[in-house]
Amino acid sequence: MSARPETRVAKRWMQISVRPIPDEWIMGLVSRLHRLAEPVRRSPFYKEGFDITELTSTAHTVRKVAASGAWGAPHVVAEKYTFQNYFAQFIGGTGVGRFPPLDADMMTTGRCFWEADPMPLRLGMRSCPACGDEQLSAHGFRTLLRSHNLPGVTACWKHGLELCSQSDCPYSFGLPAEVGREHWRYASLTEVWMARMSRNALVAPTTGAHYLADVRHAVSEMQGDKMAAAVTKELLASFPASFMHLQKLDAQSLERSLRLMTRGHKHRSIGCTRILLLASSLRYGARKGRQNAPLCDLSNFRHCPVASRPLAFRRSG
Amino acid sequence: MILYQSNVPAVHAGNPLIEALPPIAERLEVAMQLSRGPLIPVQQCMQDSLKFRVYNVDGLDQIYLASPPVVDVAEAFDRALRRGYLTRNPATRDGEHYRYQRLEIAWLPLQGVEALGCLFVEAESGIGKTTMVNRILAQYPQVIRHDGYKGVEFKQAQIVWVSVRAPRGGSTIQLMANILEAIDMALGQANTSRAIKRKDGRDALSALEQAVRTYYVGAIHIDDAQRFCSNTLGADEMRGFLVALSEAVKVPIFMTGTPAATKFFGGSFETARRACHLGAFHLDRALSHEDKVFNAMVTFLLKYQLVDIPLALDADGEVLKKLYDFSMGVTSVLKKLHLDAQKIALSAKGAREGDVALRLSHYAAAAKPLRVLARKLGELNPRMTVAEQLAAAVAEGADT
Repeated sequence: MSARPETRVAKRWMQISVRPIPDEWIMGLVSRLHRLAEPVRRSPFYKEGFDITELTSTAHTVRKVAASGAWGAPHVVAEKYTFQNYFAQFIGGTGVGRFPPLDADMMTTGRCFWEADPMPLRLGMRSCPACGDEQLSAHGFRTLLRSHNLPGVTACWKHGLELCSQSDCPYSFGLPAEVGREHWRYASLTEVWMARMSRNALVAPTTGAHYLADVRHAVSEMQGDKMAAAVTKELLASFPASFMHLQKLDAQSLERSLRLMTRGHKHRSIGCTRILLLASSLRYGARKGRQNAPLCDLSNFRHCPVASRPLAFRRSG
Repeated sequence: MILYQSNVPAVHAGNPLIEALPPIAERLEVAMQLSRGPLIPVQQCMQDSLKFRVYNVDGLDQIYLASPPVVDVAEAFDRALRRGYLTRNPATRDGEHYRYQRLEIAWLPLQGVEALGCLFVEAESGIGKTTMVNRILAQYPQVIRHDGYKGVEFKQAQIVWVSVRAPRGGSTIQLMANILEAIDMALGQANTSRAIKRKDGRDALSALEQAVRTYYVGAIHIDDAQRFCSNTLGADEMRGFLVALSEAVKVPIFMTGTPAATKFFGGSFETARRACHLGAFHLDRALSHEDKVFNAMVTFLLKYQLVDIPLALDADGEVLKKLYDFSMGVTSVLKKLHLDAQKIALSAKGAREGDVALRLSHYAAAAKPLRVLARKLGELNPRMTVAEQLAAAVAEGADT
């Protein structure tokens, strides 16, 4: 019986030590590697070290570097340094083999589009300036964390600050730079709630129950019904009617679901949680894409890789 | 598998970059490690016929005796190397910060060379600077490939030293390209120098800085530093470059050069000496046949003779005196004369198996063509001393 390709560890010997820190994202690791290898011309560096003959896309590069065994077997890398666990709970099992190749890249790098295409959904390469300072004092460098780069997350779960995006293009390797304190901004409660909820889903992935428990906890702390109404309003403003119809959701049922969640009822509505996730993602994409744009429009929704395939996230169990 | 030294000074403990280096040796041990006998087995060579023995003489070319000043330099280099790694411990936050830190070092014509963190060895041509450096550097592995340190994953290539020659014309960009090329060659990876040549000095310095930080380069040796004299940028600019290089890479720079380099960098040797805070050494030739180092060198050389009746030191010092007169105390000249004299003795017309003796007359015969060439070189460059002329004649490859 032949070994599964994803568990085969390459025998290559990496010349540069890049040791991961807790919660580090694979993009942070590869960006650090990229940075340290800067004086070496990139193509020979990746060709000789990682057998990448042509640098086609960031996702491809990351996938190959991760598969080289530099940070352990690929399945370990996927579990520890990518979003695999996060996405897996929406589709059941470990998620391995359940995504088509492009979406598998999304699990790893947060990228699921060909990089030359316009980006309807901006994902990744976000960092918290306060976390960056902490990393610098603890480890000597700033890097990218998984919990900051989950889909839709725009705030730091720990410090409550708005995340900073280092560049307009999320496809370039780069490490976070120092951000002056005068530019630090506190995020809204909703954004922090979203960040904490998403992080819990990442670090404690089981069946999605934790996710909901966190939602309940977070929302009840924020005065239950009031929060549910605000979120409902936000969601309704964000989503086109066609999508709501497709999900068999209307304003009344959505708010009812949220109220039930905030009151601690054991109403496990993974669909509702998914809606929250999508809402935040789309809102982020629209806000970063254009100034003064509506929170979400139909064209944005149409290109959204997650929303355009809503059934892909249905739980199997 | 890297063997990490456990018997290290307390300040070095816990630093894989230092613990992976060879153990710190006693002075006598250093001298023995630096000195080298012939690469060929002398007894076996003596079994050959005269015809073959003439060829065997060339095998004695590798012999080297480390004089006390050379041991001083080796010890200073060892201290500088370990000191350079002290603050770069990858197991610490500061060590990691060093790798990712991007300094914007200004490359300006600075006055003076006070900030230059280098070890400077000045010696006249032919004293054995390059051989000395090669012997010192050979005591360390050029690349150490760490696989893990005390149970922690640490896969890292550590380049202990790179050695380059200053480019002809003293081009700074070419120098940086040479250093990067040396790093590449040590690692066996792609050539970066082509990429550097397209860049201007500032970018090249930045790239070099990152390369040195990434691969934990321990020391950079620049040979023939006197070539910077011919740099068209001028002395101030060149000093500024070396200060910037030193500040950017923050590793010991080991420079060797002739007194011309000293004059260029410091105006006088004393000024350069103050500047070189890691150490400045002057290797001088023996000034008389009574010099202890010269005596030791001659004794060492005379141990290796492929003739049947070897030349021995006499009680009144006649041999020493003659050899000094022939060589003017220049090491390379002395060694060349020693080899050539043996060749002359072995290939003489009346030489018979089992009866070949090495005499001072053979040394005189070997010195003759060198003198002729030295005189010609002296006519071309009247400023050269006799010793410099002889050393230059050896370098030019005077053949008997």
